[in-house]
Amino acid sequence: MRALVFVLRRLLAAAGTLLAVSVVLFAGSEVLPGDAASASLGINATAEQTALVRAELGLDRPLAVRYLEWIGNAVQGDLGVSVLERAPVAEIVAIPLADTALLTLLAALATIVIATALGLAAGLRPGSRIDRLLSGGALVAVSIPQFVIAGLLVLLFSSVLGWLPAVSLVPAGGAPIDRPEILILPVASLTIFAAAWASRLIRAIVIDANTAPNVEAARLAGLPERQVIRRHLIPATIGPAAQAYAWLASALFGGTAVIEQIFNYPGLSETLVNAVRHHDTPVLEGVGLLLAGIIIGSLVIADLIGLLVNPKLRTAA
Amino acid sequence: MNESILTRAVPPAPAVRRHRLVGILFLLPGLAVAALAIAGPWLTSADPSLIVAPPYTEAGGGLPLGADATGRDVWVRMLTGGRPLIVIPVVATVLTAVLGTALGAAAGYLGGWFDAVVSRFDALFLAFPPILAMLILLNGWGYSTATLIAAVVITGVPFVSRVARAATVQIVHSGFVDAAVALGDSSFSILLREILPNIVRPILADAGTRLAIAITLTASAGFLGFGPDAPNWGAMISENMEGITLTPWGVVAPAIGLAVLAVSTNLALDRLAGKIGS
Repeated sequence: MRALVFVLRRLLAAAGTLLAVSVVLFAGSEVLPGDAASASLGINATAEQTALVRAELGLDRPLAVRYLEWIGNAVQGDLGVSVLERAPVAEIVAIPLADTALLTLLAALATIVIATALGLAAGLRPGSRIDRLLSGGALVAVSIPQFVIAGLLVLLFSSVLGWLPAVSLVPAGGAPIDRPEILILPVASLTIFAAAWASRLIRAIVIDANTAPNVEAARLAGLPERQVIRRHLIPATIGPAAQAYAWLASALFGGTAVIEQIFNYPGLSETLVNAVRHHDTPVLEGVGLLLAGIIIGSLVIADLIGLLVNPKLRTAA
Repeated sequence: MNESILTRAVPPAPAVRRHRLVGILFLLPGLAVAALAIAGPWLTSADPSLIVAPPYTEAGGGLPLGADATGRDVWVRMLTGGRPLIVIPVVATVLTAVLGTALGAAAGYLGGWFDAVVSRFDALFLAFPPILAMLILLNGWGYSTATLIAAVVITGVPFVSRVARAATVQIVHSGFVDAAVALGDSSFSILLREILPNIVRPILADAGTRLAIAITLTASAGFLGFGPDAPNWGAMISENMEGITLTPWGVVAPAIGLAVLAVSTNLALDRLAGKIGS
């Protein structure tokens, strides 16, 4: 019962956050000068022309009214109409979103495996040679812009070694999954950054858990180290680790915006860049809302995982 | 958003005792690149948009780094395209640190509804990819240096505020704060004279990461074609990516410049923060 209350409260809080994000999103993209009307007419438009188009697009109504209309439709799955393509936003972004999600999921899987291994290796022996090497390397890897990493990977694996394609050419009508080899370099570029970032968090979590009273007690009781790690340390890290990995959704989707451009990968990035270039605000708002939903959703899932592995949380709610 | 690993006080600097030599090794190239980027425009009188050779001419002769996708001198563009990637991130990071510290320290010290609002606001922004926020702002406000700085500041403030708040909460009940309260000092004076000196260290440690991220974001804007004004190193990478097999320098030179800059600033500030603490 308590668990159910916890889950419901969590879902309610998530919905509230998403709503707050939507307000900020809408305000950030609509409150200031440049709007779709002046953009679609160019700089030579007269004030009358602009006003006409503004009225036609409904931009002359108060911000609050437009927000309510937008969010009301969004709840029903209607994200508005693209100014540029005159087609529903949901329709325009569906396929690119799926392609980007494929990249993101693969990179997330790779990141979780690598960061868990590295974070454990470093966190179990803080200050050791391996910890210094991994922590230093991670700090370097998170500092470098992702498209720089990607550019250098292309140089090495496509130009010098010639093993992998430099661009993600997808056959007409096909999907990226049809040619798995084009996924390798983009996923690797995303993973290097994300794994470095996540391994620092996992390291901190492991160090935390390693000094927890139950782990120390198990050790003092003479339990073999492997058992201490397996039965006491690992379970204590699962909740916080789930939290850390939930943020991958944000880090990885952010990363795809530049990585996809490097490889000409057919994903959301092209949609977003085109939208900014042509001032297609509905598309940006739609994608922003969808991504915020995905990110907040993954944070909720992480909380539920934490609830499953930690009986204390069930009563704390 | 509830408590999470990221909204908790993350240990600012990893407890890494790097070899003294390693720090200097990383710092020197960073300083060299920064000096080159800042002084670059004074070092050449050549026009960076002048077409001087066929596209993707290999390095050699009068062109130390060859020509780019449209036949412009890569070396001249390197010299003239680095400054915005130093100026914008530095200005933005200073603003971010000041605003974030003020917000976080005030939230941690005052508590109550102000703290609740700031914490909510922070959690909200932490859940959104900075690059997407930047694209939305660029769309709403138009491409300009001011928008870029605003985007970096807006996406960075929640992170600094979180660090400042966590550090403030830890010391808010210490004897010296109580003493100042008992003496009748104003909240503003306590924040400035008692709290601030004691939370500077984690904020400085975090500032390295913030600056590296600011460089990345600014370069990403250039890379995606949304300013700062060309030439800039971010844009050079995307302009010349297609010809990477013909002559790599159009991509490799700005890539190395950016990588050295970001890594070096992050490591340098990380070390500086360690020094202040000890």
